[in-house]
Amino acid sequence: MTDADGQSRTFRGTPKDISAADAWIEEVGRHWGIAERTTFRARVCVAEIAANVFEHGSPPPAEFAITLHRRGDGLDVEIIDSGRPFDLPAAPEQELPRSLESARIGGLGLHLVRSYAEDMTYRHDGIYNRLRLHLRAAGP
Amino acid sequence: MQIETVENGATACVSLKGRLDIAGAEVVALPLATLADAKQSLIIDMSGVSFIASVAIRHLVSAAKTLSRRNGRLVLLNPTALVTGVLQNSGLTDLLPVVHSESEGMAAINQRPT
Repeated sequence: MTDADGQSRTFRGTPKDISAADAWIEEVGRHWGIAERTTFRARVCVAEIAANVFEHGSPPPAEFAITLHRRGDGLDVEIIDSGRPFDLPAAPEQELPRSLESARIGGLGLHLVRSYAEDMTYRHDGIYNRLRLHLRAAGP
Repeated sequence: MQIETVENGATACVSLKGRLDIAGAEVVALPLATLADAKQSLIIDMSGVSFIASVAIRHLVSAAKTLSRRNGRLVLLNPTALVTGVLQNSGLTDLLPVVHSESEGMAAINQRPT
């Protein structure tokens, strides 16, 4: 791995590749000396977005590319995918479950991304979804 | 993802080790569903789980719901601070109680659900 401030890699939208993407982000964060909590939050965001590509992308398996940049002690993340257009920042907020009986199976992923990421921007360029987000430094 | 189960009467202790990401969730889905149908209570040892995604949380919630219908409980034993943060952000720590020892877990599952 180089010492550059930016790293990119492309993955297929399969469970095996989503796991590989997670391991890669963890490795890059460690290499850059980013706090584990900050990198962990980036991993959660990417896992949720990639799972969305896997579960709702059409036609499967879609691909997704991740670009990571250091910004101070935080991380800028861009995820580009070939799945179905989906404007995550504009998607309606899910209500958190108050009881097991009312807990829905699903819907938590978007909430997790929103709770961890800042400065989310989305555009669809006619072919790809392009989502950018920032993970601020979150302590060790 | 590795999964090991020790059964003790109506309770089973399930130890998970690895990433509970989308691939890990596929590994644990069927064993958790099967145990939730067969047992009264589950203690899920989360101490070896280094990562969790919502797809895995779904399976935990699904198992807890299955148990709850028979007044059973599912508790999470010793999740790491980072995994606990995800559960807290999901609003689930009241629904999936976190305990820090097996004895605390046994006490929790012997409480009737509120």
